[in-house]
Amino acid sequence: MRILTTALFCFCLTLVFAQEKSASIDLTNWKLELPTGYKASDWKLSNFQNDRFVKPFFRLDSLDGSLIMEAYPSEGTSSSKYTRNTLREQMQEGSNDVNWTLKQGGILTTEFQVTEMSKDENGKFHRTLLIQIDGKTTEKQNKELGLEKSVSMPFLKIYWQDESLRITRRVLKDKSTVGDALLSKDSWEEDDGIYSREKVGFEKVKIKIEVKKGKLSIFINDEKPIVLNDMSVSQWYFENYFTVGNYLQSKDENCRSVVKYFQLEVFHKGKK
Amino acid sequence: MLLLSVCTFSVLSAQNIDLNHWKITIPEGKPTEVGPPEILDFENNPVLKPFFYRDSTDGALVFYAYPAGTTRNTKYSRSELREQMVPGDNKVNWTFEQGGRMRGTLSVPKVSQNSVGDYHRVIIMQIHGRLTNEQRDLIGEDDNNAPPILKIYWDEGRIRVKTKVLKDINATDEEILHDKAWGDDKGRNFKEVVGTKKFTLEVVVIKGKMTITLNDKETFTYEGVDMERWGVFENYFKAGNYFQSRDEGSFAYVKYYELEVSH
Repeated sequence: MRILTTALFCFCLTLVFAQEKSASIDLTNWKLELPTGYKASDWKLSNFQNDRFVKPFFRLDSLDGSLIMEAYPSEGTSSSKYTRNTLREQMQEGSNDVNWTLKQGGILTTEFQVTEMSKDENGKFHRTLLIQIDGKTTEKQNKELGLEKSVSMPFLKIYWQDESLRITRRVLKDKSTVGDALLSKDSWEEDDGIYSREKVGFEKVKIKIEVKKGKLSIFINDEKPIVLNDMSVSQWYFENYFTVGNYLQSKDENCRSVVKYFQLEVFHKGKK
Repeated sequence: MLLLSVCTFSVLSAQNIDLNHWKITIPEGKPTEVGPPEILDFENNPVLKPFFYRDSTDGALVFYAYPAGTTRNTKYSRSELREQMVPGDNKVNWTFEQGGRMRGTLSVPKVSQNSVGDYHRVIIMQIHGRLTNEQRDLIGEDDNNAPPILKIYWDEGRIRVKTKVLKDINATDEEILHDKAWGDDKGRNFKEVVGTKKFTLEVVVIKGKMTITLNDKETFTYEGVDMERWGVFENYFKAGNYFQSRDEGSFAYVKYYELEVSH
């Protein structure tokens, strides 16, 4: 009887623990996009645990409370594109229109673990894009530049690649670029990127990205932070948002990857 | 005691919707329309029952729709009320100069999803234009149908407002009587997200200006040349479930707890 009671107690404890854990990721300010073309934010996303269209790709792990993001091609995936499973930051619930400048800054804190990754025909792991800072021109900039559509491109990308983290970013092709040209796609190029000092493999990783007063710092576990504060940071006048998830960079029919998120928090000064 | 309060509530709710000034259209038959005075006895009408009935637990009027019969000018089906200022008469309507106010408390508790998982959309309130017989004959139309100046959607848990704008603001008074003279505006979403919860919408037209308010908090205002020139039409309010899907197996429920109109 005592054993039974203890077992029951432990079970209840596990339940409480799991629930507390799952409550740790607040999805209020995120918009989900799945490989099927499914999109959800605010109310629709808050209801994700009851939505059968979400479950195959995005669900809570009942044991450890993490958010499981699984990516594999589906009917809705265009064969010319990679398999998208991403959360896009929405500072204003349900709206893509409110974003932040590097000057205003922001902090993303996350803990994740790549738990499964398929391999290509040469036996090499596929790679997935985990975190981005995406930039785009504002409505106001579009008007001033006479653009019909926003110019958009990622400012920073963090991949899981070769069992390490690879960080790439946009840099100015010509450091003397000024004025409107700074908002043109042609003025920027992606750099070759750098790898994290240590392999992360299939272990849990903590990352903090801090944008403060136009300076960008990336903290990976306990490694010395990577700090970027050159012209390519100071001359980036786009508005930005964080993107987090498991954006699998493969067109292989059988590609598949699973990333678990244990923590996902965004902070902007002056915003609760 | 609990039972008593439930009963009181449901009677109260019933009193909050005066069906003397409404005609219901349901998606069955050709489709079927029932106006005053027959609509007052809707609870004993077996034809209406699947589509328009009272929820016995909260007293709300339930509008259920799925793709079935459509009316002549539409491709979607509806379980929707059409205002009748004079009971039983479609010919008496109101202009933007005369104005009107509609206030409803409602919810959209259950809607199907398409193959990707997008929720199907529902129009929950409208202001519809109508050609007088003279206008109809003038432009050689064979019915009195004019565009809706206002469509309010439930769109993935948000409330979306769409109105009409003139394609050419210099068009003549006769030209703007034609459907094709009017285009859709871009549409606006209220900030507040309603999901499947109860909310209140108020539509007010006063001296040619139209306002829409959600939960007595956020208001959209429409005025200017498009609203001024809309003055040429007569109008009527609509409320209920105009279901925006032809997908097989799709459906939506809309519940109205209160609905009142004044002029």
